[in-house]
Amino acid sequence: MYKSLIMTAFSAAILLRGADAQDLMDLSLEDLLAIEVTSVAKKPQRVDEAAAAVAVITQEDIRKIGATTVPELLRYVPGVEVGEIDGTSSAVSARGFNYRYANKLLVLIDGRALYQSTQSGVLWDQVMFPVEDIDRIEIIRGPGATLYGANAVNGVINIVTKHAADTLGSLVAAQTGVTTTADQFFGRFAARQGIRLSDNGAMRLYVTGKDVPALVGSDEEPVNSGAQSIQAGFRVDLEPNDKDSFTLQGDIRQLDFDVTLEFTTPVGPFGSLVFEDEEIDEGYNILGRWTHSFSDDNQLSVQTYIDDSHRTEFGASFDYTSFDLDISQFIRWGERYETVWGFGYRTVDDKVVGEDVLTYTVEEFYAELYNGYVQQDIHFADKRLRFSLGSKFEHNDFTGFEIQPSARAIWVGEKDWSVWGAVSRAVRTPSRLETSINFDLGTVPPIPELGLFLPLQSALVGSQTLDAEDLLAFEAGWRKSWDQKFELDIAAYYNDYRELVALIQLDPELITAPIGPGGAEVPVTIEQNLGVDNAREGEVYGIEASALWRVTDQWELRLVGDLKDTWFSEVPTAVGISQVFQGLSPNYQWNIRSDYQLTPELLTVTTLRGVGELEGSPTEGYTDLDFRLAYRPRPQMEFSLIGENLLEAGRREFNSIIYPAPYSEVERKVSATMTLRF
Amino acid sequence: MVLNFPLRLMRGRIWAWFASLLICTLSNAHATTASPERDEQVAAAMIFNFARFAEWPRGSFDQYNEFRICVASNESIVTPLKELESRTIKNKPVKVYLKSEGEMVDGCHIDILSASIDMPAPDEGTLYVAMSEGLAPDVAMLELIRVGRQLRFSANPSLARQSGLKLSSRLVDLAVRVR
Repeated sequence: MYKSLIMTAFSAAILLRGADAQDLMDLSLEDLLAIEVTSVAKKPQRVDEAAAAVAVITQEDIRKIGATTVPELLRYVPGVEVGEIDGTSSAVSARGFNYRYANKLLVLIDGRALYQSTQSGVLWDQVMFPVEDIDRIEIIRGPGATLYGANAVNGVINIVTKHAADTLGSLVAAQTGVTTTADQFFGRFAARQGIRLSDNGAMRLYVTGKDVPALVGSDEEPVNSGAQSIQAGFRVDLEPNDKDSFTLQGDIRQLDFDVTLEFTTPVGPFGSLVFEDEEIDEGYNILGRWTHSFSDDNQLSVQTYIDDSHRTEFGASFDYTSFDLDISQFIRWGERYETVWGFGYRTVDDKVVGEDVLTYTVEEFYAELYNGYVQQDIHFADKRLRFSLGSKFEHNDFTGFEIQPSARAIWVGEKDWSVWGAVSRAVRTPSRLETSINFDLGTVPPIPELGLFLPLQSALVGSQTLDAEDLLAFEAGWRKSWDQKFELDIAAYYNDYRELVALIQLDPELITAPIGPGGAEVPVTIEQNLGVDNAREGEVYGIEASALWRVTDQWELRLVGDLKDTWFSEVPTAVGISQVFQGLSPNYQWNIRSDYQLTPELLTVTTLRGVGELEGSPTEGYTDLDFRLAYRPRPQMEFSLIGENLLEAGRREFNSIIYPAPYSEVERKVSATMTLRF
Repeated sequence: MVLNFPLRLMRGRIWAWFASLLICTLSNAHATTASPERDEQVAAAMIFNFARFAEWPRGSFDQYNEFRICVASNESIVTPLKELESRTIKNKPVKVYLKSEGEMVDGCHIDILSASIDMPAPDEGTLYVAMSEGLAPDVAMLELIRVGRQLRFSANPSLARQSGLKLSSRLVDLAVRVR
């Protein structure tokens, strides 16, 4: 699947040798559709031959589940944690470290990285394109740094959208619903038109929009956190000959969202501050890709994109423009060797202007990042034994050179089983938020009875001397299938983290000012700031499993789950909210999904899931149920009824950590959807 | 909702690069150099899969103890289709029958429509598959669509139903266009 992910840049299909006519007859229709007909050597790589913990959310999964956002879909993947924070914000991570600005997970859409260093994470409310356009979502838990570089520490989520040839014709989808406690209405629409450009090309245009309900507070009234968004985009795919492919795609978006933020200073019982504001997020991106096949064993891909966004939040405005260029090549050397190598260049030009509590000490920043990588695969024993060795060499403006090597091996047995293992190093480079933030935590007035005779002023300040966070990961896994009826996939991991960023209490300073006729310097304020430092070590270890049971032709059962434990070193100077950068994660999660085709027209999808309490926080665990009944009177027309969170009227999924959302609960929701294709 | 994109668009220093890319893309959009043999192998495999996801009316296999695929004799897909004769569909051995102009074959379970032969009058219980888009919109229940190197298909389940056939929802879901 590593190859699958890197080969996404080359084509939708994956390179393996030797698909003859009889092999083709054995492929499923889905696999056949992924083959470029004139590329002799192409054939999809099987997930069970990947030396990594891999999951794929397919188009069929997306259709059945009926989810309308990517975070909702990711709830069905073991080891991936998802928590809804407010109407627009979600916390998504893999193998721990989850919070609004989770920064150890790399998320890509068609190879475009969504990470924004100004806010140190992925802003999931910016991911607005229609789920109907997704071809698949590939999820790797564990480091992917060798091919992807910094921030692919705990996992990579690669969202692959459909080739324009897959979206000819028209599609209209709509959803409307209501929450059952605060009676908030919500809705979504998507419209898409696919056009054939010539014998060699196709394009699609789409527009989508949604109205997202706010979460509710403890008084069961909506907290001010709803959102309205609209996005439009296109994708053009041209294949003018049997050697070259061109893709050009882009999106433009506008999001208006309401926020209520509740700041409480961590250094005393005073100084809480409540913000209520209307914010905007707008942006565009455009991506171009050229793939050239020198031969079946030698392909080159050049991809470049620009991503631009403007966002207001926390009383500040964030402008962010990134430019990225990636060149990569796949070469097969004889029967035994395969090489992927490449290099990349990225620039980030940002500007953060704060007016109220949030400012950046460096308002405008221009950063360059360049890297090179190589990965060598070696096969033995008729490809049953495969070793993969590689490393990425990266230079960034924050920490200089970083080397991220990886070694993987897999043995594929004869009777539908495989076992694999891997050792990898990955790093996460500091973000602009961590290096430049100056966040006013408020001022505590003098309290003589507590021995405080001067005002105490506090702020969270970033550090320009932060080093990269470092991970050494050990992984192993086993997969087995029994006659296409039952499949089992188990992965275990041990992650050893060094140089983790922790929140520390800096030494207090007396601030003086000239007082009186002589202008003598007199102490007027005590400054007690919080800072950040690479002061923590940590270990996270766990096990993840997924099972599929095809009970009958009409009924499938899926069970996914994960267990993990964490240890973090004590930091002598760490303050009470020390888990800010290590996030909030449950020790366990499980999810049972039943897909039952009642009749050819009626499908039910029932999902029962449980999530443990978030370690070190007051957020309790929960068990809840989602249900979907889909009715398809005609093949091109589907109506469905959806009930979400049916076991509880409301529950809290996450709590404020860095992102100061007030106490809020996710409500029970009922909705109806309609999808038409013509 | 004030969009100030135009200003920021101007700020992008690599727009010239994207313009070049677009020009390069469009100027290269000329005729495909096809690899016909491979193309037909994949098309044959796709037709084999179509049969897996279609249901024929009761009694369709009573008359002949074989699964009949009919195709024009001068089509290049004949060779890969012949390789299907070692396989079974619906528990019946596959037999490929070759059609020529003015000559009909009875009892086809799948009839492959191509430009080289006149379109037949639709037969009950026959799944008509067109080798290209727009070839026989009133007859074809499935049409192969080629876009560059991609091979896809469209589905017309209503037409199939009129002939007593049923296309599975899985098959229709994978069609890029549903009529």
